[in-house]
Amino acid sequence: MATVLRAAEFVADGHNLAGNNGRAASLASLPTELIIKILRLVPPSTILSCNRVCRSLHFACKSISLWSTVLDDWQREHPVLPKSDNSNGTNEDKVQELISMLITSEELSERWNTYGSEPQTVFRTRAHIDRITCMKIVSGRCGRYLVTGAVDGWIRIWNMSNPLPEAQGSNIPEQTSYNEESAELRSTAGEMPPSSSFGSNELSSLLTNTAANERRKRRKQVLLSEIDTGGDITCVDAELSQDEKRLVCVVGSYYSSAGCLVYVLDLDKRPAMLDQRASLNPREWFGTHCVSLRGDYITIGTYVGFIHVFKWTTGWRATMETGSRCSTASVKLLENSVISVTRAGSIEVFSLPSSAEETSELSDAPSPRMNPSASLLEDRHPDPSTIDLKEDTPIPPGRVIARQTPDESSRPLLSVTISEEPRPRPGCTSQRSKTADAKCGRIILQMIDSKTVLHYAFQRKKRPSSHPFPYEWPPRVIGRAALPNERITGGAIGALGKRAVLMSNLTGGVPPVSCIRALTRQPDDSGSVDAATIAMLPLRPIPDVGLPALPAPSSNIPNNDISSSFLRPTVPKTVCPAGPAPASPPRAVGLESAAVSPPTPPTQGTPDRRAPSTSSELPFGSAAFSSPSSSIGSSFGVPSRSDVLTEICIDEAAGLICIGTARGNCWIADYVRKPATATSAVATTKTTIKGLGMV
Amino acid sequence: MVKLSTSDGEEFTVERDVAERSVLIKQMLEDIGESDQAIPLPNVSSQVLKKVLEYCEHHRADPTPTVEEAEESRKRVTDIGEWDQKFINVDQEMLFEIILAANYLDIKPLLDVGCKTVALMIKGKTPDEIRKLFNIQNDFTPEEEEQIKKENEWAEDR
Repeated sequence: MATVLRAAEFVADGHNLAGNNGRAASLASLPTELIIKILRLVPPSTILSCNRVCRSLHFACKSISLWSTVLDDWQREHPVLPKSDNSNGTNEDKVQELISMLITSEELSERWNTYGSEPQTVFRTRAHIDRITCMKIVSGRCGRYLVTGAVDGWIRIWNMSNPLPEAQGSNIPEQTSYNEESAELRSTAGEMPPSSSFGSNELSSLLTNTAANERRKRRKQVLLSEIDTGGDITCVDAELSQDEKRLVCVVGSYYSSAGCLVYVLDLDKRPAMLDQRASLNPREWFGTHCVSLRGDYITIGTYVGFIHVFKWTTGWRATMETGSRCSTASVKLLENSVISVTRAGSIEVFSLPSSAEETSELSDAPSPRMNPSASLLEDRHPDPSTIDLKEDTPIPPGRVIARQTPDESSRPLLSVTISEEPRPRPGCTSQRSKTADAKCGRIILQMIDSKTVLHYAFQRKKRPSSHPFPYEWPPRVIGRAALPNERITGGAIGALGKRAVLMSNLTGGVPPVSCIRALTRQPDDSGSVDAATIAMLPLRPIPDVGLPALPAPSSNIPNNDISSSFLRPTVPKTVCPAGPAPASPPRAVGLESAAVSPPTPPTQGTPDRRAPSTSSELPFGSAAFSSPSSSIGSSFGVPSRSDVLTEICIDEAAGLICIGTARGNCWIADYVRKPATATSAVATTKTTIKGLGMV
Repeated sequence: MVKLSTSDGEEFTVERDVAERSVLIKQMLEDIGESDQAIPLPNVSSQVLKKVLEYCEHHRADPTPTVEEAEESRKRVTDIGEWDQKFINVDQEMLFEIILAANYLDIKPLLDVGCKTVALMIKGKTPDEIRKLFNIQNDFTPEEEEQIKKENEWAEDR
């Protein structure tokens, strides 16, 4: 080591300015503490580069305090997927874990800051036979689930805990008709026997079956549970129990007779069955529009300006009235309060009615009665309807504690999502980040109308407060963006409030050309009074969305701060930087294989089929969003003539974007994990083809 | 006025508020009181001290930032003032000498400026580029290098 240092000195040209023990100062000769101080300022991947430079840097890079402070800093701006608590591992294990978390997060951030970025895996399934109206991603330490609800009345739970299967195993075109897939869907739902013979001749029929089987198999790998709620579904919320063994799912409906239904899914049991536990009816009720679940409590927002609160484990209920008789776009149940946002844009906060306050006090003590995962969920009700809600319970009035009414000029809201930043568990953060805690535990509100996106933050009060709503009022606008030339159709914000997604119609008219953008606020949302701009970067989470022209490099993206380098869009060389995206985007073939099978082998019997752009390759015709087709050749990709994106949700830490459509299609785009190996599927397919050849 | 003497025996006389930008000197002055004796700074050469004093002179009137502000500004990597940017635009050896001196003299804002500058230099670079940039010898044995590469791959692949 010493000799090496001397050699370095020698190379360093002899100019010894220092009285520093006669050694030339260089990066490698700095004391480790200073090296660490510098490394804390660079992105995780650069630290890994430094790790390989020389011994003294390598030594600094092994420091656990370096990595844990880097994590503290990093996750203030970037979503990080937590790993399972591994507190008894060695320091070396912990460092490896921190590195892995940070590098994953950095890679994801880079992907989501790349124009037209495509996911690592795309999974598509026909999730429902009718319009998907709600989606919710539930993430725990070990499991990740997607809940979808549709007008068809079915709730389906998709397991995204493992890498998703991709359709690459099969070389067989998926010549399935819309009807067939619907039939197939019904069959999985257990209503109809599988309908199998749709092919015009034996061969294609066989092939179709194989493809259908493949699809069914893939679907089965991901579909965890399903149930017919018996009505339409307008909204859903779901939550994992503390031990992550149960998923509680609340479903709201417009036409059904119940205000909302509560289902519990035991994740350890197979088959996983959604078990109805409660059917909750408010006194006066005119359709549920939105729902929020938190432990034992449920809040529903309705179409006529009433907010209802239930304790689903006991049937206790209360009703609160909003200021306007306007429909409630979104509700969020907090510890002792409820936030509601109406379609017209007014934000209201209610204190939870008194009964709830009592119980929330109680729940601090580990009473088994109050803890659903401990007791009540165990006691299976023989009949879910035994929870008697008809009996008149007193209705303690919840009080409006704060209200913000919208400007006269504001447009009706299309989508409102509310996220609550997780608060660091006590003792989990280092001393140093105490100041950062003040910024944690915010509530971020994303309000979208047809032209603009607005992010509000409810800052947590600095001092602990016994007020039911311990946040600063009024909420502060922390980000805004506008798309004057497009029509925004929907969006969602991640659970951490750090990243959001936006759906829009590029043409603003018919036929719609859907576009999906990732939204990231500027890191500096602390100082300035003016709202930060929101960076909006078009992505391609699914093959059939359009990419608008990339705007000229904008000067309002500041060229400072370590994290902002991840905000600047990276333009892949293959994409032309200005002007519309190419009709056939880079890597599209690989990506589309999720939905579209690759070019056919000669054994196909369909020799006149051209490259992967013919619509017949799509599982049910060009129905869904059709692949970029040369015949139409729109610069945006192809207008979606027969299907429309309706719902979108995002898990910003896990890198998942889920999209639902008007025809019940569901896409899951995974920006982190590569597809599950489909080797077995390939093997089966090959055997089948061989067998056919012999026939 | 405060007298400071460097490792190479040169003496500097500066005003007290300038010298007190350095927490080390400030504490020394508080401990021993003002005296005609020069405060010895055996770890700092005259060339470096001259540069450091230039910084202190320019920032003599800066208010002491609160802990929170200091924490905030530490994280904004490229948040270096215009004057500071020009000031720190020196050759590498001087840069590292300034960092060492700022660390020794306990001048936090100057140390931050130095560290941020280095961070900007290495950000996004490969190991080879960093070695080249800073003239660092690769002192790993081939086996060690292989080992580290493996470890990194593991982390990158997850």
